Amino acid sequence: MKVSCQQEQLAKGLSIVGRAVSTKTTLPVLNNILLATDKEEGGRLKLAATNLEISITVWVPAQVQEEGEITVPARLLSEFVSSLSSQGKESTVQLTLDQPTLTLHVKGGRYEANVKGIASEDFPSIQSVSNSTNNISIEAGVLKEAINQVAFAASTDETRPVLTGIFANFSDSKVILAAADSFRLAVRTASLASEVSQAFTAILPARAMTELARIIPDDESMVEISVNANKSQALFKTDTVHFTSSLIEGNFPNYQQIIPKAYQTRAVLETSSLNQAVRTAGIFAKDSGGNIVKLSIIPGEDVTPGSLLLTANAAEVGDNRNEIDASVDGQNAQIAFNAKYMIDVLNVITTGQVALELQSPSNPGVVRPVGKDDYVHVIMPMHLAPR
Amino acid sequence: MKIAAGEVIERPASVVKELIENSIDAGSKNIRVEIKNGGLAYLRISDDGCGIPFKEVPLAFERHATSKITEAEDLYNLHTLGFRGEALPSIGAVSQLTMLTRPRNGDALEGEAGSEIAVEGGKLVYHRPAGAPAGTVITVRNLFFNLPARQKWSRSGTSEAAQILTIINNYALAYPEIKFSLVSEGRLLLQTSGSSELKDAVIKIHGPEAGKAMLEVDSHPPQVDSDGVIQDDALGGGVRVKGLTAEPGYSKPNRNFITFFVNRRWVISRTLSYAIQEAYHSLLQTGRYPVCVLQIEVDPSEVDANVHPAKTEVRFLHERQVFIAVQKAVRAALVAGADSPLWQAANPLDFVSPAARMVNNIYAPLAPGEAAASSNPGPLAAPSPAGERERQRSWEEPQEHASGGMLDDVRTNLPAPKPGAAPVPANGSNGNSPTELFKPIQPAGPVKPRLPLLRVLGQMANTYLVTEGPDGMYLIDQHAAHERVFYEQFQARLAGRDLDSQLLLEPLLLDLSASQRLWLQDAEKKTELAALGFRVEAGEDHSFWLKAVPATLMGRDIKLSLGEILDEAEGLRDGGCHPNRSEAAEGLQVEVPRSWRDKLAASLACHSAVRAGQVLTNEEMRQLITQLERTHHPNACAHGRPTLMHLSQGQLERGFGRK
Repeated sequence: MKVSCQQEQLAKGLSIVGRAVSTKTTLPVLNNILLATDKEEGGRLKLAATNLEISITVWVPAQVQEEGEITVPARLLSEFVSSLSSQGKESTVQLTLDQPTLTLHVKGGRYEANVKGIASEDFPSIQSVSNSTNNISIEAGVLKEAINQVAFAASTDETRPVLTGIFANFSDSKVILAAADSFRLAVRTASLASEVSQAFTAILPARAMTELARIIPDDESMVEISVNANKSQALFKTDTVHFTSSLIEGNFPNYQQIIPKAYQTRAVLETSSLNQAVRTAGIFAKDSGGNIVKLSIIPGEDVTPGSLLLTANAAEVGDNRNEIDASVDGQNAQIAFNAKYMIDVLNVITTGQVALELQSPSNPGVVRPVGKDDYVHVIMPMHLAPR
Repeated sequence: MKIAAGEVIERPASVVKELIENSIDAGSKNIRVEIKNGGLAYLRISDDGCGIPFKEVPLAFERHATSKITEAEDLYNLHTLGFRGEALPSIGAVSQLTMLTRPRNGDALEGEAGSEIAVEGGKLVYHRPAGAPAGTVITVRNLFFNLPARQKWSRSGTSEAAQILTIINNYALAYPEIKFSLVSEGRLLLQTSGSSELKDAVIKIHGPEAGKAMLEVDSHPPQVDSDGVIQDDALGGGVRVKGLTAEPGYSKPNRNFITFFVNRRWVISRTLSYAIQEAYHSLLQTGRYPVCVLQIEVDPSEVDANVHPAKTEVRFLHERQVFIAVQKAVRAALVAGADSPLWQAANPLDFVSPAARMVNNIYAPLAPGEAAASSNPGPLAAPSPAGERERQRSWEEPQEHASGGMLDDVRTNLPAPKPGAAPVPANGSNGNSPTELFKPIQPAGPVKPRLPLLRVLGQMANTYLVTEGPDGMYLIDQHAAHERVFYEQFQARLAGRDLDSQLLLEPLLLDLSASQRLWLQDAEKKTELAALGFRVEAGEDHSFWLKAVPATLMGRDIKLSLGEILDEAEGLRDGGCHPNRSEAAEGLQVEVPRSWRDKLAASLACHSAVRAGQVLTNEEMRQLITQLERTHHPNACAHGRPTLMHLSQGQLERGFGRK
């Protein structure tokens, strides 16, 4: 194997596939990145890594002089290649494999290194999602935002695996993504670039999707999604990256019945001021044992605007009261939430205003962006024992 | 007959006990016991007490002759250890005994320096004037020579010696102002300093590590409970508890290190032992017991020592009062003195306990003078060798002792009590009376902070926080520490109201065992569970649905946690991270009765706390330590496991050979 490519492109490719490199040491080859030459499109270098749950393949434009493939330790190679940026912006990196010793010679400018590798035969073959039943296209930026709006609500508790995933329901020209743990639910609807021929659902691991959201660009380029026939894997394709993830088997609970249909009180607030007020209360809530923030919604009267009062109380330490303006529809309402859950959702609301819809102190509260009806977030309140 | 039947001398240890008590009653400052073959062959007790005047010596060997009691009523107001007048005659009856004695104030009977008496099998062999140091030297040879049956029953010399050591240990702890020595087979087993400092005695007997771990207990300073409220002392009544108790980091696998003295008499009491365990509640792992030496002072009229001839059992008029006083005093000492357990040095300590010395035949080298003295005990009839006399003379205190010999009253044939004098031997005035209080312990300084100021250095094995303190390194078990934090939070909050809970998005169907279901049907237990934040509702077909969980349990496997918490509260299961009790099988375990609620809280704390193996950020670690500092007992988790370990600067320096 003898190839050369742009340092910048190689470094970027390595950092992307690095996200799939396993950190466990049981199978040493999984700590490696596979490098393979590819004659297509005028010569490319394929970089691939997998931790057996997800696998990422990236192609970097390259001049292939001699074909071959090898796996080398991921961190070593990517850190060395990153350091080669000191050799000039447009510098190229030459990779030469000495097949008998399985040693990769890496040279950039006047820096060079030898990296010992493991034969590529030992690398697990990355299943390609072939004969997929459907091909769906979605804008990368939309997918990225949608994942970020739901993934955090997924459970980390492995005892109910379906809840560690994001439920995806593809139908017509939209996809509904939903994630929930035992205490909250996030649902986002996103439109697809193409019509789905046959509606289908899948449960995507939330952790894998978070990684995907990290590596896909935030623009209008397309991501192609395909799921294999037996629904065990999903492939996400951009121009240069293939991201494969295993799917979670099982039935996702019927989340729709959890979303309250009505409300007693609705408060519309500035997203940023609510976020700031909750964070401030959170400083005190953290010491309270349950991270509890109490909310009181007070409707306005004639000329005075309505308001939202947040209080937090840390036993023996202190307490905090923050008040912000709100336009209130309905009556007085009180409820208590875990501050973290509030902050989590407020971080992903992209609109300037947010609506808080409540029924009673023991019924779920709903958070929606104002002006967009593609997102709903449900939080279960805390039950405060009578004092 | 107002006295329980006398216990005969059944083994060498009983001889030692009786004679030591006599020596103590005689106001001795220095008591030396020498034994051979566990005291069966040879046993000598020398003291520098008040001695016995020549004329009274034969009387001492008559049964029920005592100088310690002047009238029957005194039996209810005992201030001396002995009171039956049986010891000397009983011993004399079963051995070859010689006693060499001279009254301390030589002018008691003019011209007579001292006397020597020999008794064999209860028969007087001779009684003659002899030169003697002030005090009494009793030599007992061939114990049970005339009772072959009992001789046979006496166990090996080593086990008899162990018994004697136990007895001397106890007296040495009870009377830290008396210097006790035990020499066995010519080698020094134990020698206390007689410095009046209880701690010194503890160091000699339990070792320097124990000494370092000891916290002072004194019930007299106003009791401040955990909430800082000054307790009404009315309950304590006339009971005073003083002494030393080890911090929880220093514990033993059995109860043998819990020692009590009631009015300076060594007693065995399950009740008091239980009071101590109560005081250590949640601080010690199951199967570990504290080390303590406690003096309990009660009005002598409120305690009955005459339950058993050996006087090791007592009955209190107000047992509950004593129990509470002991528990409170010890708990207060633990709260005030909470400190982290010191790292156990890996290399063997210099200290070898007297008991271990005996078992392993390791003896401390004798000082040259002592070796010479004890190697030559002298023949039966001969006056004691010069070396010993010299030594005994050197015991003499420079100041004059007040008069008041132990047999004064016998001589004058039970005269009326001295006017105005309490039935305490007159020499009590020089501070050595058995009923005199311990020397006042220095008032404790300002209350120590419960944890030293700690700086986080990092996390080890994702389980232990490595921190630096004022004296060396402290390792903190993150789980145990967090568990303690939660436990106390829960306790505090449960005292006022229920814990807050997080409602579930969807009720969770619980898989419960039949027995768990049964408990959940108990309304009371269900209420307790709800108080912690678990809201369980019964569904159809005996199913149970979980509606809400404690806020602290979020992100955990709720169903599993609830199941384990139920089992643990019911005692079916020990805390997941805690060792099993080892003694349960032996029936030694006295389960500390903890309420359902308390057990639930401990278990919930355990399940809510960060786990071992969880990576913590520096900020989280700092927070944890700050929270731990606020707890009342930062040194143990809710199940009694230690939370921190200390490796002192000194240990490090020794370890690296810098010192």
